[in-house]
Amino acid sequence: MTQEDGEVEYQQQGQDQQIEEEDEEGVYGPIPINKLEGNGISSNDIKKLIEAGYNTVEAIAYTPKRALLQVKGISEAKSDKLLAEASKLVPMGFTTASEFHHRRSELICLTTGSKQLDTLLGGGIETGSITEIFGEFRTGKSQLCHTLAVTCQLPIDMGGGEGKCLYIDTEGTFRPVRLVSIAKRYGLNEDDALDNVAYARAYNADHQLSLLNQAAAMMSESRFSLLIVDSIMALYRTDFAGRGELSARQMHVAKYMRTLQRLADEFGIAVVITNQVVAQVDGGMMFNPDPKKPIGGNIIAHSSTTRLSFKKGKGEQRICKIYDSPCLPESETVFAIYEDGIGDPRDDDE
Amino acid sequence: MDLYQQFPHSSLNFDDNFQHLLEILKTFKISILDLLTNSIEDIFNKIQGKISILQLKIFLNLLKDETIKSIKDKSSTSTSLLSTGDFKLDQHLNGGYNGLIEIFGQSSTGKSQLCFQLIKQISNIGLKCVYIATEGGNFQSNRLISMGVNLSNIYFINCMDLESQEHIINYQLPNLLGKDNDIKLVIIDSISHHIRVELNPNYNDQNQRKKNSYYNQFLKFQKYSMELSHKLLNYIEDYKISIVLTNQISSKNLKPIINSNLYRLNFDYQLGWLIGWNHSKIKSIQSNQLTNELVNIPTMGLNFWNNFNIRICLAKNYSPNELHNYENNGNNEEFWNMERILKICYNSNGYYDDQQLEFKIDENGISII
Repeated sequence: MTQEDGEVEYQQQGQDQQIEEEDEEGVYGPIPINKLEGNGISSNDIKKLIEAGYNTVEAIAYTPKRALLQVKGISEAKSDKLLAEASKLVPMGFTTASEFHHRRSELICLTTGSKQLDTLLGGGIETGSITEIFGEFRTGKSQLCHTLAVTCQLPIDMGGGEGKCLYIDTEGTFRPVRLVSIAKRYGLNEDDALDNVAYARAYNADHQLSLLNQAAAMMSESRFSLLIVDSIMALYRTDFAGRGELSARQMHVAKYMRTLQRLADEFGIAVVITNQVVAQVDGGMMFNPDPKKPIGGNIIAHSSTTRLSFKKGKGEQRICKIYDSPCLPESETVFAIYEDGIGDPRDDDE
Repeated sequence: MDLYQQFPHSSLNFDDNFQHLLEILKTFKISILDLLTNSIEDIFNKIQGKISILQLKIFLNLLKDETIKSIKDKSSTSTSLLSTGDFKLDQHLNGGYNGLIEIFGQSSTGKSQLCFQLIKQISNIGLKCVYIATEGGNFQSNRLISMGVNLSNIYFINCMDLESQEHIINYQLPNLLGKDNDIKLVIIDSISHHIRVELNPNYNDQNQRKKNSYYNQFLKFQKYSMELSHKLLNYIEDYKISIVLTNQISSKNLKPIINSNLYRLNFDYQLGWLIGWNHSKIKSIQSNQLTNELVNIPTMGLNFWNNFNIRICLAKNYSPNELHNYENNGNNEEFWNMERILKICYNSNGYYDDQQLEFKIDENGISII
């Protein structure tokens, strides 16, 4: 993308936002750029900006500094001043936390299929944030993903998200046949349920990242409510080997996690990632309370909002423990895996 | 001319009468330092008489007046201490906190929870605060409500990439601070989430491995972090606020010490004291000659850490549970007792001891046990 393209895009964004604001405020409309004159900004500067295509104060406020610096005759001092003055005139950015809370309370939670698990999670898998599930093999990580892929299509009063699901599979564990039996449980049309799950198999780490760009395009076209990545680190473990490539790997993972968070924010979807565990082999650690640790290091740990640890229990039962959450206390519950997906443990198991 | 770099607040930057003068000084590469230390005649000769001596004199006098005024203004300020809301923690902090504060620790050690505790206290005494979130879902308003915080006293914004973070910190934040004088606390949670991805020099990146490129990246990063902390420190002075930053953790591969007499000055050797390890850990790492050990350190680097007034390290620690029933060995969970540790690594307000404080997180917030 050339610099010019970039500028055009930013202006476009600015104009889009203007239109939104016009709708909200009705009478006011965009502020003409000459309002900025005075306070160290001369009429000459205004002229230069108009020549460069900036006609409103809003356009300035939403333009990054490096784009303003491209305008001929605008120095660093001037561009800082312009941005500071423009953001004084244009109401943007900060809201009070109570407004934020109000918006948050409109966020929905996707049901996991198990009432106990939903209660533990405070309603289910939260939209707008990243939930990480980790555990050993056959602890139910992929099973929960399959169940969620169906429940996210349910109407909102049934605990769903009324949207499609995007399933990015890196280990080849996706089984459409499981979706059929889960769809039956909720009384959904099997074909529709399958049609509503967009599936992509990722073959390497770069491919995994580029799939997210396609995902953004798909999400702007139709309503999605869930993005699943099963599992997030599998390809990184093979694509990057050894300590020599550790920092390159972590940088890539960090980019990936940020893109996920962006999708969650922009489209209000729930993002669920699964993660493998490794046994820790730190020789020096005498006290090792949790010998099995999720991989991906600090980057994954800092980037996921809620982290759930899955363990095996008796028979079909599995234990889910909240490992890290900004609002839930550390506690655990039991759920079970059945033919028709995740559910509460039934009495005959005991 | 480096007037804007040296004195960004100076009104001379935008005075139309001096635009021409600034341009000429720029073409002759005369810095502020040259102006202030040389005689006017010398300067006049250097710029080959392009500006009249009278105009130079006026400019210099205005500049000096402004400089003296700004020094006077700044020397008279001292911000009062804010309470954390926990009596014991305040005691350990010598009464409270102010200035630029860093909270660092691994994921789920309670960084955001400590921030919420600070918010609660600020809102309890009727003042306001600003919360800038970068990690997405970290700002849990439910949690704040259950702690009994009045949400209308908190300004909130979420930024999704470094560009919006810069825009918020550089322009929107000072604007808000100027409008609302009740704001006494700004929290950025976390400062390094975007920076570490978009700016951190990465030796293993193929494009950056070219000659000198890594070093240039490193210098660029240093400059960026210094400018950022400088800006934040200015806000603290100008608006009489405190700023709390949370910082993430990254792994560092310690380099083996080269055998020389000066090895004690080696950064890796000194590291333990900077980031709040206890004595036994420092000792053991140092006596191992730091051979290829992977350790967890806060991000952003030493230059950034040096600007903090208070640095708090949070950690989790596990100890064996003595009352444990050994027959039930299959369940690992019950055998271990988790304790949360808070340690003050540095405090410019006075004495701080090396003590590790145990704390707990409950429905009311954070409290030291």
